[in-house]
Amino acid sequence: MTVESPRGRVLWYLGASLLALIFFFPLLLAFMNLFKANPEIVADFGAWTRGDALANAWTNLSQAWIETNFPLAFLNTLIIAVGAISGLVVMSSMAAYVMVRYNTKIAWVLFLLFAFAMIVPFQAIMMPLVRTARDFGALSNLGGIILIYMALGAPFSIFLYHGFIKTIPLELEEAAMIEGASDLRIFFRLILPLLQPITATLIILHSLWIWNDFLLPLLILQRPEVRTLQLAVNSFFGVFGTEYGKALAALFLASVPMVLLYAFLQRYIIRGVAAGSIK
Amino acid sequence: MRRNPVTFWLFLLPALALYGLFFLSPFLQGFYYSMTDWNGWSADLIGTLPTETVEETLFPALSEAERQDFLAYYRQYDDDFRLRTGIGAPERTPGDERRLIGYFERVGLAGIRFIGFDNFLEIFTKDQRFVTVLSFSLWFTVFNVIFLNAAGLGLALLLDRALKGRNLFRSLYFLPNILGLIIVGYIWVFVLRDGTAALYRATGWEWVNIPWLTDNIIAPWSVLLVSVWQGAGYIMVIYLAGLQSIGKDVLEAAAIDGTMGWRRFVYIIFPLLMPSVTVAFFITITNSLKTFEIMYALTRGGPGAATTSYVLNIFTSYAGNRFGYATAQGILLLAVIMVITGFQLSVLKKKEVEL
Repeated sequence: MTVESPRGRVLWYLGASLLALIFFFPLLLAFMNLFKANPEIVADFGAWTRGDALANAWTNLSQAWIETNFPLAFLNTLIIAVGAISGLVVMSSMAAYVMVRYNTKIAWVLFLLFAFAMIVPFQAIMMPLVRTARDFGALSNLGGIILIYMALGAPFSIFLYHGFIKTIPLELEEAAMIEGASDLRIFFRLILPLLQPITATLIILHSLWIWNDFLLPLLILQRPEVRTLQLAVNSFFGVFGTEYGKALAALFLASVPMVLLYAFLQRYIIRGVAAGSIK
Repeated sequence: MRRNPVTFWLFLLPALALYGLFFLSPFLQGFYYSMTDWNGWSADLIGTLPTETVEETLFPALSEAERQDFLAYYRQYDDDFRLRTGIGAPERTPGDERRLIGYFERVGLAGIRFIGFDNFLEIFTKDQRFVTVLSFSLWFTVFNVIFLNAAGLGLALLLDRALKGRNLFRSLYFLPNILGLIIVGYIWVFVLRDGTAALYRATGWEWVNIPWLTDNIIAPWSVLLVSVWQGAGYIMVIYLAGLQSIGKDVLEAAAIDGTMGWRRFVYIIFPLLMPSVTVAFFITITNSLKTFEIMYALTRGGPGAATTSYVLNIFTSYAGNRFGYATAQGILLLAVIMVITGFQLSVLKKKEVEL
């Protein structure tokens, strides 16, 4: 932190705004063309529409809405994200908790086994995973992909929880034990609430990952009725390659939920990313 | 604390079960499949492959009636077809299943054979495309890591001061990370293909009038540009957290000694930032080696294989129904990542200083 001179301050704002423009301009350009009819987009990508901007946007958006089956894709994505993340939080915190508190050799070996998975690239297990998913009826199945996300997200979640639980003093648990509380009760009533900071970090990181993931849904969710937003957008580009207006509208629709969430929670999201990378 | 083995295993059970089923078992199977000619055409994987492959490999061997029969059952998995026509297909019975396998067997496509290290031999000695892919991937990784860290650190240094509006700028720089890579890629297709054309018409600048996505010298740089644009904000957040953890007293002491500006950055700030450098390099190296979506959306790996990343190539082998071969490349990627990141962590960790 340095104290700025007035001139330095002006330069800083100029530089920072210019950079912001670089980050924002491509999105703005795409957004602008949402208000144009298809021939206009093809003719000149940089110009503002000469027709009725709102009518064009309405046409593009409504067609994209119907043809991507947006409500269904949104709902599928939401179900997967909420299901997988809540499952991950409970499952990983439970596992990490006993691995910290039962300080045995087995616990340590299991922890290393989980940690190992963090360096294995998804592509090394991709093909056998699809086969396993097929054998267990998890293909084109929302419940199936939720379980797969839980399995793939577990190592990182357990790793973060493990580090955090180590810092929680034992006294509280011991007091509860003396009062005769069961292990399950101690965990859910006492420990889980204490894990809130790290749980928030995990929810944020996993949301960014699962909501925007493309490859796993592409492999697992093969039927149109279980498609996620990313898949819906992608299929749009395959089928309507030259209908720019609709394609841009589909991109816009798929971005809106995350951008809205970001608008309200950006401070927490950035803090979560920072916290997740330091550990 | 009391030790109850029942609690221990009960709490671990869900995580262990899912880990075993969907990570460990596929991981171990992968070693086996990497030594087979598994081509994915066993009937349990009908529908996991693109339509083009079916048309090119299978159709020539079938009669017209058999082709119609196959299509009737295949189509229920074919998203594009279903989307276009709204026509579904009848459910399959075990009898249908056997008949469909028969079609695959006829063209020698069904079944899995053990072939030892043939896949790996092919990767290293015969696969010309693999050479292109590997050199592009390494080139991309080197430049992506350099530019992402330079940009991320630059943005972090810019924002690490007490001026109004810095949080707003931080949010704007981070914004591309909120969008899926597929979405980012397709947006940039418009920007680089149509946006630059419009800019050229308006300004007459020759340097924007280049084939951004279709020239095999330029397209790799376009891919790099989009990757850095998308990822810089994330690395910025890491460096910003590192900068803010540096104690004010250290900086004040430096100021009293007269160490300011460039010297202060090189001798004081940078050494204290080494833990963040380690993390940022780890993240950027592994992510660069695993990049897939940006190339998939921007160029589909083209022209030729000029922008085909390692993972996109695995996906292409998968889509070209060579599952065993694709798995062998995946195992090799694991080895590469373990060696590179292991080396990087041991080198950078040594450079971290403690206060």
